[in-house]
Amino acid sequence: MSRLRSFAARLRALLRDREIDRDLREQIDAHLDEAIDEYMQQGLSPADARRAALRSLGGIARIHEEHREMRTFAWIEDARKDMRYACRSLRRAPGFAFVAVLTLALAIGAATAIFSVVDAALLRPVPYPRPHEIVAVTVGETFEQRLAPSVVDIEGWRESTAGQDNVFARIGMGRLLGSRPAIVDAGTPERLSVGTASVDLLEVFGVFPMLGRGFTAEDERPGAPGVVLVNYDYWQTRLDGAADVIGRSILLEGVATTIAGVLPPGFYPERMVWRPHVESGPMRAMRGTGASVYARLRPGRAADAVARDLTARLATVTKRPLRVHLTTLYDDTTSGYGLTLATLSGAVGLIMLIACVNVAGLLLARGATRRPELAIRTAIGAGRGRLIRQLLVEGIVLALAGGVAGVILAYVTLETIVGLVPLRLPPNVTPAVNLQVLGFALVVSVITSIGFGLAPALKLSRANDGTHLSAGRSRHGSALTRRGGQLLIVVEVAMAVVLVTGAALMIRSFSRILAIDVGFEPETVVTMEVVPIDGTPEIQKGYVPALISSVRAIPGVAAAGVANRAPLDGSGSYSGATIGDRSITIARRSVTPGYFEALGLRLRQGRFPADVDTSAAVPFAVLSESAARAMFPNQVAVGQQFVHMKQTWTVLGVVGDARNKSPLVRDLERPDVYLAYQPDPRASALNVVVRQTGRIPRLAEQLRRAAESVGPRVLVEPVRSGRNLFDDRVATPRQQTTLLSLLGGLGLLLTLVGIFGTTAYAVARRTTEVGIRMALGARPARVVGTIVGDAAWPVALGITIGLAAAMAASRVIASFLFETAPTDALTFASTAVALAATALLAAWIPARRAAHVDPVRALRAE
Amino acid sequence: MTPDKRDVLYGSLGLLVLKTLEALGPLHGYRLARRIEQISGNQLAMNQGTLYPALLKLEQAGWITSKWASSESGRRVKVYALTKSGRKQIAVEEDEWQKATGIVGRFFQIHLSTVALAKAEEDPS
Repeated sequence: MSRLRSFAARLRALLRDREIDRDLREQIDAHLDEAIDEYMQQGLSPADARRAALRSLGGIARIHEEHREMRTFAWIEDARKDMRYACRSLRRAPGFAFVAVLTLALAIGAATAIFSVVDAALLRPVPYPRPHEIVAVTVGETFEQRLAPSVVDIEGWRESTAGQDNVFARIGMGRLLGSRPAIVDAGTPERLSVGTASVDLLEVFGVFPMLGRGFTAEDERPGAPGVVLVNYDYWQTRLDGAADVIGRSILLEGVATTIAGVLPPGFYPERMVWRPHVESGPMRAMRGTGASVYARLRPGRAADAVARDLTARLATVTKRPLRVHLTTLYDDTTSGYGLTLATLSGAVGLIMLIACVNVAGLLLARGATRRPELAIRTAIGAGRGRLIRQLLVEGIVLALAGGVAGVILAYVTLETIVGLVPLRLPPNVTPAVNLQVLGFALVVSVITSIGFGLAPALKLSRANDGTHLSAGRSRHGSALTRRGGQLLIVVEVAMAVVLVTGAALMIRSFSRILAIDVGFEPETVVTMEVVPIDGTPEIQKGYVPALISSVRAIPGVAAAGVANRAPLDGSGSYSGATIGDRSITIARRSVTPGYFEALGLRLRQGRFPADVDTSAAVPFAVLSESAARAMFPNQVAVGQQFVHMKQTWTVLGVVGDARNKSPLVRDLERPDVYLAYQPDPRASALNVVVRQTGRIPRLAEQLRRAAESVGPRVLVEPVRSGRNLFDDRVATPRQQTTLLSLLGGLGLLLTLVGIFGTTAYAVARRTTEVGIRMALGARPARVVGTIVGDAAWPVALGITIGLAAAMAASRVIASFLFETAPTDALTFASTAVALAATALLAAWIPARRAAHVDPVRALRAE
Repeated sequence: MTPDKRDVLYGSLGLLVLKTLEALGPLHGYRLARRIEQISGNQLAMNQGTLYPALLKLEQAGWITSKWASSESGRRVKVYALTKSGRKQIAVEEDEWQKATGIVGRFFQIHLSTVALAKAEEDPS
C-alpha cells in the first residue's frame, strides 16, 4: 500500500521537479539560519556560527543530489545525466553526428512514410462504427466462385428466420464506371459518377443522412417517383450547402428527380449522387450482375454460423449446391494489399538494417577516439554496465534526432510517396502522419538505436584497462578492426544487392511494358468522349455521321471514327456469336467506318468498311485474326456471316490482333470482333478516335468545337492522347517500378556512404603504416591499390551473398513482373557490375588520400 | 554509488524520525535533527542534511505529512507530523527491529552444542 503510494508520489514529483527543488532549498536555508541562531546563543561569532552550522549540516550539493535521487526514480535521474552527457559529446563531433543522423533520418523517414500507408491500408481501412460486424456476402457453387446474391435471395433471407440475424443491403458497384447520368442543376449539365444503393445500405454501414432521409422501400418499387441522395461534396459545390435542398428537383438522365437526403462527408466520396436500387423482372433473380452485397451481423453472431444458416435457407429454395460466404468488410477491403505492403516493408526493413550497420560502423570507428575518455570513466569508478548504458543512451540520442528528422522528411514527402504506392486505398481513408505513425517512428528509433548501438557499446566498454589511458589520441587498438570493417561492408553490400536487384527487375519489366505492341499506334491517336445530353437513338442516328464529318473537316485529321468504348479503357463487353451450330464468346466493340484507319489497326484480309457500308442491309463486321481463326477455322473469313444479338452480320475484313482492353491483357479466349455501330438507347459515351498527320495546333479545342457545333447539346470530356490511355493502364507497374527504384537507390546510397566511411576510417587508421611503406619506397598508386583491395574482397563476397539472397527474395515480386523472370540473368549480372563499380568508387575516393600521406608527418604523429 | 549502505542508514534514520515525532509531536527540520541528536545523547554523529532525503521518503510513503508554518523565531519552516499510517508503521518497524536484534542476539549466544545440533539436522545419516 505504502509502496504504491510512494510510487505515485514519485511520479508526481517527476512533474513538480522545480517546485520541489525550491522547497528543499528553502528548508535548508531555514535550517541553517536556525542552527546559526543556536550557535550564536552559545557564544560563537556570526562567522564561526555559520561555519559550524554548515559543518553539522553536511554538503548541501550532496543533499540536493540525494534528495533528487530519492524523489523520483534513480534510473530517470541517471538517464537524464546520460542524455545531457551524450548531447555534449555529440556536439564535439559534429561531422560524425551529421552523417549518422542523416543516415538514420533517411531510413526512419522511409519507414515512417511507408508505415503511414500501412496504417491507412491495414490499421484503419474501415471507418464505420463497429466495423467487425459488417460483412460482404457472396454465394457460389465452388470456393472460388463469389457472386453477389440476387434480390430474390436477399428477400428470401429477410423473410426467413435465417435472415433475422442480419440486415441486408445491396450496393451497385458495377454502375460506377458505366453510369452516364447527365445531371442538370442550375442549368449546368455535367457527367458524374452515380452510385446505386438499396434501402439498407446506409444502415449496414452505420451512416446516416445529414439532412433529409435515406431510401425507403417505397423508393425501390418500380415506377415510384424518382428520388436521389446527394453526397456532401455535391451539396457543398453544386447546391451551395443550402439548408433547404430537400425536396428540390434535379434532372437525372433527363428525368426530374427529388433530392431526398444529403450524405455525410467521407462516404464513397467519388460518388456524388445516389439513386435507389430499383430492379424488376428477371434481373431480380440474377446473381452476380456486378453488385456487391453487405450485411451487418447482429452483435455477438459469428460469421461462420450466420453463413451456415443462410446457406441452409438457400438450400430450401434452390437445388444448386450454393454456399454462402461472409467476408468481413476489413478482409474484403484489404485482401489485395498484402503482397505490395509486404514487399515495401521488406525493402524498408533492409534499408533500416543498412542504416544500422552504417551507424554501428561509424560508432565503432569513432570509438577509437572515445577510448581514453571511457578509460578515465572506468578509472574513476564507472562499472561496465554504466558505460554500456552511457553508450546506448548516446545511440538513443542519435536515433531520436534521426527519428525527428525522419518524421519531418516523411511528412514533407508523404503526398509524393502515397502517389507512388501502387494500392487502391479506400477513398475515405487518407495516409497521414498521425499519432500512431509518430508512435511507430518513436518505437523504430529506439529499436534502431539498440540495433546499431549494442555491438559498439559492448565492444567499447570492454577491456578498458590502463593502456588506453596512456594511448592518448592514438588510433591504435581501435574498436573497428580491419576485419570488422570488412564484415560491415559484406553485410551492407549483400543487402544493397537484394534491394537493387528488385529495383532493376522492376525497371526491366517496365521497359518491356513500354515496348508492348498493342496492335495499333497509340502515339498518333487522339480520343474524345462525347455525350449527348438527351441520348435518344434518333438523336444519335443523325448526330454520329455529322460528328464524324465535322471532325474529319479539321485540317490535318487523317482519319476519324466513333466507337462505343475508348481503346485501352480497361474494360470490355462480352457476348456470344453463333456460326452455324457453334457458339463462341467474343469481345464486342461497336465502331463506325474510319475507326480502323484512325486507330491504325492492321488489315490482314478483305477491306476496312467505308461510309457506304453503314447503309447495307446486313450490317458489317470486322474480325480480329484470332476471332477469324476461332469462328471460321480453315476458311476464308471474309464474306462469311454469323449471328450475334439476334442479328446477322457479314464479315468485311480481318485485322491484326490488338490489346484493346489493356496493354497488359492479351485475351485470346474472347477474341475481338468489331461490329457496325448502331444507335443504342442504353449507349453511353461516343468515343471519337482521330489520327492526325503531324501535330495539329490546338487540336483539343478544334475537336471540342467540332463536336458541339453540329447538333444536339453534348458534354465533351477531356481530349486524351493514345499515350495517356496507355499510361492509365500501366499506372500500377509504373508506381511499383518508381517506388522500388527509389527504395533501391536509397539502399545503394546508404551502402556507398558506409563503404566510403569505412575506407576513409581505414585510411586514417593506417596513416602510420602508409607512412612507413612510403618511406621505404612504396609507390602511391600501390598504396591506394592495397587500401581499395581491402574493400574489394568484402564487396565481391557481399555481391555473391546478395545475389544468392536476391534469387530467393525476387520470387516475392514475381507477380509484379511483366514477361520478366524473377531470376533474369541479365538483370542480375548488370546489378552485380553496377554495384561492384560504385562500391569500388566509394572506396577509391577516400583511398586516394593515402597517396598524399607525408611519411615524415605520419611517423611523427606516432 | 553504494545504495545498499544508504538504504540501511535511511531505514534506521526513518525509524528514529518516526519515534521522535511520535514522542514530541510536530517538528520542523532543524528542531527534529537537534532532538534526534539530543535523544541519542549526542552519540549519533550524523550529517543533519541527510535528514531531508529521509523525510522525503517518509512523506512519499505517507507516514508523515508536512505543512509550512512559522518557527518559534518567526521563520517560515516546514513542519512535519506523524500520520495514522505512520503510527502503524512504527509498530511494524519496532517489531522488525526486535526480530533483527533477536537474531543477532542469538549469534552472540552461540556455543558448541547448538552448532552440533545444527550439523546433525543437516546430515541425518
